Amino acid sequence: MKLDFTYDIQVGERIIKVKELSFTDVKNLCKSLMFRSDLNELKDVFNKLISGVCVENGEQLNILEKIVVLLNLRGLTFGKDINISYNRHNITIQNDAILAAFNKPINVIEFMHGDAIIEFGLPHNFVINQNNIANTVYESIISIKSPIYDLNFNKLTEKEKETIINELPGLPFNEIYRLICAQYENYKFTVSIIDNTSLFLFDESFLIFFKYIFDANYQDVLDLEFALRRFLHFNIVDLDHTPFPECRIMFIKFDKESQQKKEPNVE
Amino acid sequence: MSNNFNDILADIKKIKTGVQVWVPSKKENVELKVLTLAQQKAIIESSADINLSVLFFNSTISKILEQNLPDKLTSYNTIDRVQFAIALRRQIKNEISIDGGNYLLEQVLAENKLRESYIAPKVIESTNYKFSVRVPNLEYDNRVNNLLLKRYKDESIRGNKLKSLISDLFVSELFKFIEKIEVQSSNNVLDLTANITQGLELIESIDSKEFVDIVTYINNVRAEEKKYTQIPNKDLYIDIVPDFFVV
Repeated sequence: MKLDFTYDIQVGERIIKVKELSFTDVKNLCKSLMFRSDLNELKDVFNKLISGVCVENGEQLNILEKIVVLLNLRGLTFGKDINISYNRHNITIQNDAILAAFNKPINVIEFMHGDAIIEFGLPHNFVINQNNIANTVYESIISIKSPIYDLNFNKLTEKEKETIINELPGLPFNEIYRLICAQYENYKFTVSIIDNTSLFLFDESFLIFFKYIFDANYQDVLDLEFALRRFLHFNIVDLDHTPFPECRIMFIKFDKESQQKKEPNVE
Repeated sequence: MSNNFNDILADIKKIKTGVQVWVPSKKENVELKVLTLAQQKAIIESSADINLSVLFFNSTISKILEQNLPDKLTSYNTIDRVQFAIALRRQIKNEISIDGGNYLLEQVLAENKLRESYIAPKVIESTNYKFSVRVPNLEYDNRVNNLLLKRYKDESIRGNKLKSLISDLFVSELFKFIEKIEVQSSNNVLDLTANITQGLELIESIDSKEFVDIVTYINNVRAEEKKYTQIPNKDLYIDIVPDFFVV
């Protein structure tokens, strides 16, 4: 019997089950982030990461859920302290402080359209702006309640959603887009010590921040892999299946034990 | 109340009512199904290509009208298209803002119902030709647009092919209005609608000065279309472009 361990991450009322990142996952993530700064490429990397770690429906998470999952994953993999060098000072930000600013209940927007009430939540995509208003609104639909039907979009497959969208009457996109933006403008985290730099829910700030906090030094990862293979006899299957933090703990223990062996006997 | 997907889909289809729209060319109302969310999204996305946005937009509107009107597009002309576009937008939001003022589209549609607009087909004689011209129907207009779109859709702004877009647009605009050409000296008549590619080539080979009166005819049609976008009693006009559907 194989038991896959998962962590529960709570976002509002939703529980999202995530798997840990293995050593190989971290190494591949590190390589993926190393040469990428284009926002579309970063979007792809983090969407792929989320799909890979979420046990179910990773691609259907909204932007807030994605951010909370990634912050938790960062904490689980590399620890809760985020160290940033700025103006020759080392600044430490607590992962939990950022999570507290964002892991808040979502206020659903109710919009009356004809005789139906349409509920809007949050879109799925990282970075939303004026260029993708239609997609943002379309992705944010949670439910449609009319006198004769009650449709929960979260329970529909992508195919079913598309079918419904093909039949539903058009919407005042701009008006709804403005309501969504206004509803979540206070979801931000400001680091006053770094020129009041802020992380916002909808702009590119999070993608850039995630690149920074997930981008472990590739040379360090390779050094760790060498040590694991050389001294602890890890093979590719071990690296594929052992969570990254456990690999580090094992190496630290081995290192400590080696140091103790080197020390002269006091007796 | 059912929560079954197919039942709900059937309910949505059932309550998706059409609206009555006055058709200038027919002088009667037709039922036009309301714009769906997917169709609205397609219109907004049609503005993505700056160079071809007008063609993309008209092509998208034609596809939508094909789905939402009871008859084929051959039954309607380009003046009707303006009226349909305003009616589709009105279902999303009745109000429109122009230059800081707010106006109601239902008033534009009501005013348009009172307009008399019939631009008759005619024969225009130039030095060497007789051209039979008429307001193109939407199906034909769309076919010509799609031909141009096919030719240019993969061209980048720096592509050599794109440099000829303006002249091709001019030729296709003329072409849409000309049904037949008769060569005065030989009385040979060619029906241009039979083969669009061949017809476009023929138009390109004719001296521009032969088209002067046709350009005037086209300008009259476009001016008539513009009247249908006028805010009642104001010197203000609605731009029928993708942004018109982003409200």
